[in-house]
Order: sequence, then C-alpha cells, then structure tokens
Amino acid sequence: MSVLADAIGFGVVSGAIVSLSSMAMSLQHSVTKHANFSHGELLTVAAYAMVAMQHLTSNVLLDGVVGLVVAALLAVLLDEFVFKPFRTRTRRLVTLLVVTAAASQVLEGTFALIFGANYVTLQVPTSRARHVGPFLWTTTDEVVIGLAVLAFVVTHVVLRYTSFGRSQRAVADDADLARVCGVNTSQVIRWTWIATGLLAGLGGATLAVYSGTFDNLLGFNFLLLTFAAMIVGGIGKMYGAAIAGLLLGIVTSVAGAYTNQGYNQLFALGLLAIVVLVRPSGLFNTRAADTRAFG
Amino acid sequence: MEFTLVILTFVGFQIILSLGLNLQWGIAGMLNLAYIGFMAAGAYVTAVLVLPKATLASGTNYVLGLQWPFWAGMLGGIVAAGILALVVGFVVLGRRLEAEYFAILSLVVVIAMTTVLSEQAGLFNGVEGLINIPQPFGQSLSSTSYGALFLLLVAALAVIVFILAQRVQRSPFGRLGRAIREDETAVQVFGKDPFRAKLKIFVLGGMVAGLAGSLTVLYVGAFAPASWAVGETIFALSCIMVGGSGNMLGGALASAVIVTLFVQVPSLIHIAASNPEILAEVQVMATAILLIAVMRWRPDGLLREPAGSVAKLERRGGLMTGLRRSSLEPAAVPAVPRATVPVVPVVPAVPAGVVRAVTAVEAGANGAAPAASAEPAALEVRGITKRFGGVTAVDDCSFRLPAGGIIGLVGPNGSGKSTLVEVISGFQAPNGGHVLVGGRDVTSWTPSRRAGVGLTRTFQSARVWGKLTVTENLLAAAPGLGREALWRGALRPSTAARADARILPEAEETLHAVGLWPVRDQLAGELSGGQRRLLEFARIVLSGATLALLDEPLAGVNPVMGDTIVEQIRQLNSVRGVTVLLVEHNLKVVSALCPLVLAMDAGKIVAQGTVQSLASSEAFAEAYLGKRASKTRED
Repeated sequence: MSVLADAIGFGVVSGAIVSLSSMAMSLQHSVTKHANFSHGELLTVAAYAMVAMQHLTSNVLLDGVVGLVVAALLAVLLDEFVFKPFRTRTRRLVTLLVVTAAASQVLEGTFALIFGANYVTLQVPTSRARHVGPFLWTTTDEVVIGLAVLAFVVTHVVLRYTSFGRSQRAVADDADLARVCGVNTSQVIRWTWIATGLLAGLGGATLAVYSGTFDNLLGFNFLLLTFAAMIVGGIGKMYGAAIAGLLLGIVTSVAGAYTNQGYNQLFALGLLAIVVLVRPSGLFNTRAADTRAFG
Repeated sequence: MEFTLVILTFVGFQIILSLGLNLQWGIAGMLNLAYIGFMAAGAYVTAVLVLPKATLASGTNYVLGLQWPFWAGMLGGIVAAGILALVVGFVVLGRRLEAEYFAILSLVVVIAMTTVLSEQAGLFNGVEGLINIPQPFGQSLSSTSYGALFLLLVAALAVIVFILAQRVQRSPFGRLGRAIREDETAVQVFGKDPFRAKLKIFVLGGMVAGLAGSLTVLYVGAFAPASWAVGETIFALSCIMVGGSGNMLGGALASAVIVTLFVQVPSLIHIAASNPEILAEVQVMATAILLIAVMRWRPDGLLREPAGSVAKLERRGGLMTGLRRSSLEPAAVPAVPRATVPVVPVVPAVPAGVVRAVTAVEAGANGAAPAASAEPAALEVRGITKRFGGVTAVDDCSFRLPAGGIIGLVGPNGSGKSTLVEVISGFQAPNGGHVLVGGRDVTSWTPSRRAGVGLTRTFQSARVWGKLTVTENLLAAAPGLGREALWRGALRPSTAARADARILPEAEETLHAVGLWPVRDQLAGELSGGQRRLLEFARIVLSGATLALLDEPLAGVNPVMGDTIVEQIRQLNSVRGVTVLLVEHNLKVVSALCPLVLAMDAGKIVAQGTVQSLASSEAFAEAYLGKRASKTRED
C-alpha cells in the first residue's frame, strides 16, 4: 500500500513536469505541424540558465524566471533562423525533422562546450517531506505540482479568452484559412514559440530543481516521454497532452517501483509505440482522425 | 605511417556505415534514427561470438562466448543486424506511418535498446560494455603490418559494399525505392507493394550497418553503450547529406573527408583536445551545423542523386556517376520515329463499347437485373454506400462500365464523386456494396492488388515522382515482374538493365504520343501542371492498366493546355483501349469526351444520359443550378 501510494505520489510530481513539457510541444505542433526533436534542449537551456544565474543570486525563483525567458528566447531564435526557412521552402516534412534533430545535437554540443560534459549541480533550498493525504511530498514537490497546475490554467485562459488565443486556435485548425481571414500567421507562430519556450522552460526549471544535478542530456532524456505524452494525448491537443503527461508520470513511476527503476521510461515508450501503431490519433480522441480540433 | 593507417581504417568504417544509411535514407527516404542501433547489434553479436566464455577472472558478463573465428563472428553480426532490422521494419513499416511517427518510433527503438543493454549486465556487460575482444589476425604480426592487413580487409569490404549499393541505387529496384520516397500512394496504384520494397531496403541497410559494427568491434576490441548514441546516426546522416543524399559516391567521399578532418582538427582546438568527452560532442555538433547549412543552401549536396535509366546510360556507352542527366549528350536517334505516332481523328467514332454502356447503365438504373452479357463489365459497382460518421457520402450507387467505354461522372462539390472513386480504387472501405473489376469482386482488396487486375487511377492533384526523370516515371510505372527484384539489381545488374531496355521502346513511343518527348530527361518535379497530367496518362499506358479512374484531370492545368489534356484522354480511351471513368466539373469537357454521363447529387446517382439530355433533366439541373435551396424551404 505504502509502496503504491509513494509511487503514485512520486508519479504525480514527475507527471506534472512531463505535462509542462508536453503541453509546450503540443502547442508548437498544433501550429507548425511538425515534430521538434530539439524540444528537449528547450528544457535543458532553462536548467543551465538557472545554474549560471546562481552565480548572481541564490533566489531560485528569480533564477527560474530567467530560465523561462532564456528558453523562450531560444525557441524563437531556433524557429526564426533555423526552422522557418525550411518550413516555408520545403514540402517534405522529413527534411524539417532532420533539421530539428540536427539542431538538438548542436545545442547539446554547445551546452557541453560551455558547461562541460559532466554533471552540474543546482543549489536548491532543502525542503522537508510531509504527508499530504496518502502521498509523501516535499515542499519542492508541492511547488512543482502547483506550478504545473498554474501553467495549465494560465494557458487555458490565454487560449480561450485572449485574441492571441483565438488566432492561435484558428491557425492550428487551418493556417491558410486563418491567413485569408486576416490573421497574421507568422506573428501567431512567433508567439506560439514564445509560449512553447516558456512552458518548456518551466518544465526544465522544475526538472532541474527536482533532479538537483544534471548534464547536457537532461532534456533529451525527457524528449521521448514528451513525445509519448503528446501522442497518447492526441497530436496537437493541449489538454490531452497535459492529462497524458500526468498519466505517463504515474504509470512509469508505479511500473518502475514494482520492477526495475532503470526501466521506468520503457513503459512510457512501450505505451507510445502501442498508441502509434494501433491508434495514432491518440487515446483521448473521440472525433475522426482527420479533424485536428482543439480540446 | 601507423597513424595514417588508423585514420584510413576509421574512414573505411564510416564509409560502410554511411552507405547503409544512404540506402535507407537516400534511396527510400526513411528517417531511421535507430540506424546506429543496427551497427551496435552487429558489434555486440560479433563480439560475443569471437570472445571466449566469460569468467570470473575477466570481470565481465555476457552471453555466448563461443570463440568462433573472426569471419564467422562477422557473418553472425551481419545476420543479427539483418534479423533485428527485419523485426523492427516489419512492425514499424507495416503500418504505413507518417514520416514523423516513423522517426519517433525509430528513436524509441534505439533508446529502448540502450536502456535494456545498459540495465541487463548479463547480456553484454551493461554500461561498461565488452572489452578484450580477440583480434582477427594472429598476434605474431608487427603492429604496422597488422594495421595494414586490417585496412586491406576494411577497404576490400568497403569497395564491395559500395559497388553493391551503387548497383542497387541504379537498378529498377532502386528506382522503385526512389519512387516510394517521392510518392508512396502513386506507387500503390501501379500494383507495387511499397511495404515489401521498403522492408527489403531497410534490412539491407541494417545488414550493412551490422557489418560496420562488426568490423569496428574487431578493430577497437571494445564496445559499450556510450559508443552508439543517437548523435552517431546524425553524424552519418550529415556525411550523406553533404555528399548528396542518394548519391553513393558523394556519401562515401564526404565520409572520408569529414572523418579525416575530425581526426586532424582537434589538435588545433585546445579546449577540445584536453577533454575527450567534449571532443566527441564538438565533432557531432560541427557535423550537425554542417548538415543544417548544406540542407539550407545546397539541398542536393555536393553530388546529385543519379537519375536516368540504366539501360539508356549503358546504351550510350558508359555509366556516369553523379552527373546530371541533362548534361549528357541527347540521344541522336529516338527509338521510335515520329511518323509512327498514331494520328488520331479529332472526332472519333463512338466505340461500340459505349453504346453497350448506355444500355447497361439504363438497365441498371431502371432497377432491373443487369443484362447478363457474355463478357463481364470492366467495372461494376453494386450498391456502394460509404458513411463518414453521420454523413452518407455515397448512398447505394450502382453502375456498369463495359470494357473500352468511357463514362463521365459529374455532380456538384460534395456530391460524393471523389468518395466513390476512393472506394472503387480501394483507398476507402465501403460500408456496403461491391466493386467488381472484370467480373471479379475486389471489394476487400488493397489498391495495389486491384492494380493487378488492371485498375488504376489518378488524383485531383497530379502525383508524379518528382526526383525521377520523365522517362524513369514511365519505367517505374511499368509492371515490375522480376525486373524490380532487389537481388537482380544487386547481383545481375546487366540482366536488370536489359529488362528495362525492353520496356524503353514502348516508353519512348508513349512519350512521343503524349508530347513529352522533349522533356524526357527532365525531372518530373520540374514539369508544369499540364505536363504532369500528360505524364500521368503516359504512366497509365506503360502500366498496362485496362481501367483508369481519372479524378478531375483538368484541375491545376492552365486553359491552353486543357485541349491537349482532353485529346490525350480521348486517345487513352480510343487508341490505347483503356476503359475510363472520368470525374470532371467542366461539362464542356465531359460532353466532348463522354457519350454517357452519370450525375451524382447528395451521394446518389440521380440521372444518366448524354450531357445534352441531362441538361434538360430536372434532377440534374437541381443538383447543378442550386434549386435545392428552394426545395429545402418548401420542406
């Protein structure tokens, strides 16, 4: 009982981080319509930015904010100077996939050059664990969960009630139609990358706080889990991605607790493979596969 | 001297590795991020086959330990990589996934492999990996002569793999692979199974990777999970892209240059030289930057993919690599003189088949059982119904199309014409009813199987294989038979080329007939919309199809070209004898071509007859002129 409760509690925390990352990826995929294999590096850059910021201030919250901004900046720059030229010129999706995979390698190399190939440590305030219901959570854990919930709500409000949100959904649904209706699609794409960077940065920041030590593969190791959450939730569907992220966090944690911790990611990958092979439209998709509706 | 030998040996490894990936990515366009995993499979299996039994003293763990001779270990490694590729390919390729899902799944495969091999120390000694792998040749040799001998082995194998890959690339099988890369759906409608071709090339590429891994492990003597990260696949991909993807020589040359540079340059960069881990990162990073830059500014790489038929090249006395086809001298004499191109009367007599068609359709439409004719109809549609959710797109449609006939299918947007074509061609499964081709019930058949009984189709947007030349498009559409076998392309290239050459006269005659002769050596992707349509018709002729569904063939064609297209459809039907179902909006076109027209509205066939007779029909006018609105109000 206690093993299960602990595993679930642990899974909720890691699931919250996966959700942040997969919401970000889902948002980006919904408008650009291609997978980004360098998504993990958006998480990593936020984590490294926090480590760098610690030389200036020990305020983790402030470090985190800087991490988010850096991730958003990287997202915009990546798209503007690397992805966009290919997106507008090539008709072959696979070209873009190669480019994003190559960009991932470039960023990993850059991190290694700047911060070294070894593990770095992020100083975080020690926090005591306490029981919340059946779960054993530290203050850090609670903050991580709280931030994920907050990010989810904010994203929902922005998408639902702001003019950017309306345009974003329009572009996600049909970019050409949105363009002829007067939506500035390139502006929407840019802001979507910023939102993606912020969410992924938050994911990276919480992951860094949660892990304490990490290397330049921090985000890459999280990439497939993120893909898994996005695909299980239904590609381009932000709410599905968020729920699937939480679910995958719990599934991997519980499965890992009863088998081998080293294998816990394999369960998520297995689920990803099964969903892709059997039901590529995602688990939570109730409509026909060809409608990429929001929600 | 010794250092040079080492560099050259590593160059050899990378060349072999790049060649295998160039088969998968360059020819068939599969973005396999797990590629390095097949190299690892070859390396591990070779290692445990040649290693002695694991002992406590050695401090390592692994299965097997058979102490086989090195060549048996190599064979084992190649076979193991091939089996792994077969299993992975069978599962992943079988589902016809989008490129994106395929790439993600391949990443899943390689990460899962790394995880399992790192965790299961009993398999291949976990993260620490295998060490002390016996050297292939005796210990008695001096290190220089050992290095030279090993280099000789690697060089010989690299040359063999290169020749093999080169042959595959230029063979009819390679052309089929490239066609699949360009447009898989268009391959299906000519009766070829993309899955089998992709699986073959996937396994072949995997085996080449296995060979590279096997050689590496024998040379280095150690292998661990850290030596096969995803970055290595990107590295190989970069070499290919720089050299020119699909061009075996380019990929091999670029591999050689890049590896050599990487061995030499680090001594110049101090920070990298002092930290080997960072060095590896920087190397992958540098190639990744190179990769992006090449894709951005020179997408074809240094050397272009060779395009053009082997048979033609051979006939002109010599195979050229990497040269653009158009830079070669044009053939002095076309195979078929222009005079033999059939001259077709502007107004052809109505073929006998069409008269039968009129009676047949009318009989069917009156609800009476279709007249039992001596010969089965080329196409018979019986009560086809197709629903999407709550929408009935096609509602109980029946008609017969006799051999040699041409029928027009008209109707407003959303009336179900295209869905009906999708069902007849096998791209959508109907909810009810049957499709019969030449009397055979094909309702449950795949599109490529339907092509086997003579059914083909075109699409609303022309689907040509863009990076194949016009002539190659025709050769790739012609029935494969034994010509497109992988083994023949690899082992008997001249037989394959001769088989191609036998089709060439028909291809050239057809090119003259449709008016594409002047552009025969251009890439199909460079053609205009109208020319693409003509190419589609020519492909139908070459494929030997007897029944063609033409879905809005005038879409995307400029009006000037329209008359030519109409004329070519007429020829397809009356000269080539292809039975045609023509879906078209333009009534002028339909009335010029089709003595009989079916009109669809709201999923039903509401009227049939000549265009003139339909124009006076109420149902037809309603459907086309929008009286439905008023009718709905009355309801």
